[in-house]
Amino acid sequence: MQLGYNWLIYMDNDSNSIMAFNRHSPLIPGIFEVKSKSKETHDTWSIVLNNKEPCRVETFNPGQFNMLYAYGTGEIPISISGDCSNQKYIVHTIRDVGKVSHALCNLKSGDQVGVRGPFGTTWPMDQLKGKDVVIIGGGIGLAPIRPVIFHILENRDDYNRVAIAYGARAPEEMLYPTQIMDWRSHLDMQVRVTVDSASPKWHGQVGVVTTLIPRLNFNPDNTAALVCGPEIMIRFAVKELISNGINPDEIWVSMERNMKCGIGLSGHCQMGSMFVCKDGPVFNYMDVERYFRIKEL
Amino acid sequence: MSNFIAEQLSEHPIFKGLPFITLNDMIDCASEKIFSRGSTIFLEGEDANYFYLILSGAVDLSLHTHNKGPIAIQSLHNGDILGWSWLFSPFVWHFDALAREKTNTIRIDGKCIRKLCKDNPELGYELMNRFSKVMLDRLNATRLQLVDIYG
Repeated sequence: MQLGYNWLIYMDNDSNSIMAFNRHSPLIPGIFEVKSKSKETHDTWSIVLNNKEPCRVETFNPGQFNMLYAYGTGEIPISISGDCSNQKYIVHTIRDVGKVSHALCNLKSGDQVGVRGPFGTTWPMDQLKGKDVVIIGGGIGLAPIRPVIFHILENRDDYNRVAIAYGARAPEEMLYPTQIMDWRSHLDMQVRVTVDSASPKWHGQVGVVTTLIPRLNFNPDNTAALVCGPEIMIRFAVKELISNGINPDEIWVSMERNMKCGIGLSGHCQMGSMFVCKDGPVFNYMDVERYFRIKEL
Repeated sequence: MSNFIAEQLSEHPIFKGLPFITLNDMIDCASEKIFSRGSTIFLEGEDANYFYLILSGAVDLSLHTHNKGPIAIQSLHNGDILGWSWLFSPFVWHFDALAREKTNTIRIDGKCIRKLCKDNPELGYELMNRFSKVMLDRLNATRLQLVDIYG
């Protein structure tokens, strides 16, 4: 039952009571439609979502995430991986690793999905202006950082040298290979890719992503670095960035935790005194540095 | 040619700062060597008589497997050192090394360097220290590969 545009009112049969939710509540998912879907790797898909409820269009920025709800299955946090200058569609890249992500990866064009968000902090695009920018991504960690690359390409004059280092397990596990080739064609951007092991068909670098960092061309005194990937990769990438002269204050990382509500209420994503969903996922490294050394946090 | 080699040796981190006389001795152990794209630099099991300072290009270290053929496990580039099996008995290579691109190197005779180190233990200690740092860095990188940091 709908009374007024902003309120949804319904009878809860379990508690035999009337429930009312504000349509703009961050806990109420908006209905989005899968416009298209593309396979990235053997277990990873990108879906393009189209907003079915114009009133729920909100601006989203590089680094933020949405809670995606596969109807009847559950809800998980997924970073926005598309171009944030196109606010008409939202792109998410999802790896099929669990029940909900499996359901999301199996959506077809025209299917509906619940979306709450966007949530969380953004990559500090304004603070990067006038600096060399080093972007480090590992595995599916390229997805949350890809909007930064789109933004930089669209506002190239705002940034100095730009270097991207991306690591994956194997060539066939690399995300967005065609796009990486395109980025490589930009003469004003360094793009280096490495894999952990490869057959002779692979003509690129073999080794861990941290080995790429000393080969990137940047002025450490005027460089900001953005790092996204599994926490262990972040730890070692940050260590290498610092040993190459980058000020720890100029390093931003995107953290992953088990986010449930997206607004800092459930406490599932608590990390010390902070909630990753609300205070993150993008943090300045100095704000989270101490948590990297605490086990079981 | 020897001027070029002297310059490369004296500027390379593995030799930088060594006394002039020592570097002069080392020049006699070194020669320039160019590998064309796709050529084999050494193969697993062969005698490890040399090591290489990579000046330009790229080299893949790989391991031949029965079912998957050669698997590249590490890439080396300009500035990197290729090979340390010349340092340790039984002086044989543990991996294959293939030039992924045309690769310019300074090839250094391991036996010759070992003799210099034997005659000059101070040099031996210093070089072992420097090579240990290279090995430590490679070991750490390999450990990260084993951990599967892209989870």
